[in-house]
Amino acid sequence: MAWSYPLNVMELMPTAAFRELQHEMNQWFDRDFFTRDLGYPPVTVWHDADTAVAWALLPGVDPSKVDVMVNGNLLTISGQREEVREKDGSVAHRRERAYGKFLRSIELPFSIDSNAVVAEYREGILSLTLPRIPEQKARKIQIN
Amino acid sequence: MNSESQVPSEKGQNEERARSAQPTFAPRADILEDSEKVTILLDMPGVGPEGLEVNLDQDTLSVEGRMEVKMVANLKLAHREFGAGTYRRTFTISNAVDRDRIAASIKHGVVELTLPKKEELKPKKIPVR
Repeated sequence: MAWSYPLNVMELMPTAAFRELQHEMNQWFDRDFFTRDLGYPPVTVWHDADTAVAWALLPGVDPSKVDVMVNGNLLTISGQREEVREKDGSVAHRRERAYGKFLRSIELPFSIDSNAVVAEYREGILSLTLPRIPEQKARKIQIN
Repeated sequence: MNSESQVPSEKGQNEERARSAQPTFAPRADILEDSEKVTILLDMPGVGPEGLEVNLDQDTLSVEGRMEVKMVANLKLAHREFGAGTYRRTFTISNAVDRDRIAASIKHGVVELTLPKKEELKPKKIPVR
């Protein structure tokens, strides 16, 4: 598309400066396939007999504003994501990114030793290493 | 099509297969515009600077990032709401954007694209003589 600039440039700029391809609309349908909307943040959990590992997608948050709580086998992640506000005289053409407060609870396969949880935030992913509470570890019983 | 182009290397084929098996995801975006520039913010958690690719081809600005979710050794999946995948989104930019000064950065899984407007197209105050 060819653009021409009439004399009244200021009036034209906000809408004319930016346009998206129509076909990107099609990509929207892939979204739920990749991160199904089951709550925010999306969480994936792995485990073995002694340890669970949980990853939460939390792009663009201040790690100091994220709280991780463990109560028995219940993991709760809460916090806040700050909105990037437009300055005076600027226009928001799209606002798809979520912001504000979030709280998510996930049941883990076993009770967690809350003192031994390790949390790490990297590239927008919160990764939690959650060791099983020692006295609840399954163990083989010796038969005499 | 000639016969040469129909015989891609084995490596290339495998890579293509591995890539197509992963879902592609359109990252959520905020688009903000002020008098100086257009700013695009994209949520792409799991992507670092080395996994991010931004390309400009004529009017098409494409952003692609690969999210690596590596299986933790010997652990089994208990609950899955996301997996490894590729983020991809394309935008069409107008002639108002100064193509030589487009900048991209990524922090905490958020891509920030800065598209400065051409100097001559920025609104300016005309002095009254």
